[in-house]
Amino acid sequence: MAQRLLMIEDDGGLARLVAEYLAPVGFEVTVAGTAEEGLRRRAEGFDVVLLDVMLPDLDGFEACRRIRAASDVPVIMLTARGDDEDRIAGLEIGADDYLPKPFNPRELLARIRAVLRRRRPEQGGAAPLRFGRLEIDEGARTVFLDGEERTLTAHQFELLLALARSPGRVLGREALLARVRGDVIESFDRSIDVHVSRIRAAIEDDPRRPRRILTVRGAGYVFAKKQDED
Amino acid sequence: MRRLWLQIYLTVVGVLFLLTLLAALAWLVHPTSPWERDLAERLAATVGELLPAPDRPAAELQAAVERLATRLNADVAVFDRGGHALAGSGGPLAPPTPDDGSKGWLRHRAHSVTVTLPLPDGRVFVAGRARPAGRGALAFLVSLSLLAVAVALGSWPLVRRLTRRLERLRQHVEDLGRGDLGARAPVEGRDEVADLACSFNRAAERIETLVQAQGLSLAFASHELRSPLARLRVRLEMMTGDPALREGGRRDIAELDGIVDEVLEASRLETRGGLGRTETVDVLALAAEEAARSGGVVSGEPVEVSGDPRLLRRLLRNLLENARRHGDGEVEVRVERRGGEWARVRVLDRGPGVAEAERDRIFEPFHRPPGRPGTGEGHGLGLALVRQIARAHGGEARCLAREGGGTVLEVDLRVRPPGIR
Repeated sequence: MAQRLLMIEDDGGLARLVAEYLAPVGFEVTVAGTAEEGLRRRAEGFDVVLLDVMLPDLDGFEACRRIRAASDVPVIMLTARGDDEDRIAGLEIGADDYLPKPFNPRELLARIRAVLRRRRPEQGGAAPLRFGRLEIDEGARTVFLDGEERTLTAHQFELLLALARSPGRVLGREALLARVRGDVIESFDRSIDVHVSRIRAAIEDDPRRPRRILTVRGAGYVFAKKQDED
Repeated sequence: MRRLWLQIYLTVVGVLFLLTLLAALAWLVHPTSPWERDLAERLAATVGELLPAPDRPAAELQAAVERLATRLNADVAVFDRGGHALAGSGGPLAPPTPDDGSKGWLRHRAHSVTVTLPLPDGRVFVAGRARPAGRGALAFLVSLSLLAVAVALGSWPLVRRLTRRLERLRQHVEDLGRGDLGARAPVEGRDEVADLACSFNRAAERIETLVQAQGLSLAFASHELRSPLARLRVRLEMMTGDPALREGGRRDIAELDGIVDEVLEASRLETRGGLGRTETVDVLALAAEEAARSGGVVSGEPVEVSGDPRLLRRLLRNLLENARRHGDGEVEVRVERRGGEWARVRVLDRGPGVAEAERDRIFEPFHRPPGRPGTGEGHGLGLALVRQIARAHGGEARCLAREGGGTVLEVDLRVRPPGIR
């Protein structure tokens, strides 16, 4: 069954392209060129809304606030890159996610799937950790890349979780060991590099050129904050 | 710099001093006017008629003198041509001197006033009267000086008030110069200073509007650029064909997007003049992330600084990008702690290096090394932004020669930049 997506975007060309891109993967895209039209058509019942932050008739944040006041349909905002203030404002007024323009359509698809998946079961447990196209669900102990599940062993999952809980920090092997909780009996220390390379194989696009789990010579590992930028 | 208030005040006091001096001088040596001389001659003729003629006995003259002295309540004496006293009553009076004529007939002395009248018959009539204590010339000068001091003291607050308004105005002008575009001066009164404040406010208003308009048009321009970029990006993913070609397209779009980003970032930093959001950033981790993106080997120790994570990422990215573009082969990034207050990031390459004269100039926006125009080897905004960001974090960016050939770009960052809570 096709998912229904409402795209409120004044750039008709971009909207058509996105519709074309999403059609083969099961999305039926309705395009609204103005906030006014978008807000009117929202009542038709959509599974997800894509909302541009710069609209000719209404500020995107205001549009988001109005959508949120009427329903809890997932909203993904398209913002200008680098506007962190925008991002914060967008999330505070109830957007579920944001994506800076120009975006990689694959990433857009991953995020759409992520917000849809999160909506389906009633929110239970902690919100999953998300890093661009990667999603780590602590409660379900699952990892998704581009919305597709990647398999990891329990040890590997614990190690990934320890890293992903401190993104943007260099963690030495000692610190990593201390953070990996649970019944880790085997000598983790020596095999830590092996485990990392297994995790990389599962979640990196190119395990030889990792972008998510990085090695710092003589210091340890870093889980990258920004992983998908070209 | 001599303060304006002091200058005005000194002028007031100087003028006052000069006025006092001139008044005193004029009073002391006021010349005898023809009108006054006429008056003296008539008085002398009248007095001459009251006195007995010179050929009368001396006793008669003495009697007349005593009568006049009683009437005038003054010391009176009559001298002959040679200055010998002929008759006198009361205290002794000095004989007339030949230059008395030039000093006037009425003379104020310290303790007395004397009238000297040369009579038509050649004799000289002198009358003198002591005056009450404290009413002499000295007393007059003292009171004049006191008046001057009073005016000097009174004009002080007036002058200060005038110039203080100017000083306040200057403060607001400086605020504007520092980048506080909302700076406005209060308009006090309706004089030229108030006019100046009004003019300043109008100018500041205009500047603020212009800067905002420029910032807005930049934002709109970047949005306009991003729309076609966003379409291009989606189109690229939908294309089938040579993956290498697609990868090249991705890189070009990213580069274009990066330029838009940098222009925006630079203008934002300039108009804001400081840091926005700050948090604790692990510089080593950030360097590792950026090195993973563009290629490079990272080593060093974790150093945490307070700063704007997006700006610091931009700084590291630009440094690495610069090294990748201008250096040959492997790029190294070293992060270290310098004392308790500084973090040092060095990006090292083995490229051709930068000529000594160029080492500071590469931090200028869109600087191109001489002799290579239009070869795409300029630095764009990249390094200018690096320096701007380093300075916004209380630090500095430098370019050094690397031992054994190549370039070191060195950035010092304050662990806790000034002006951050």
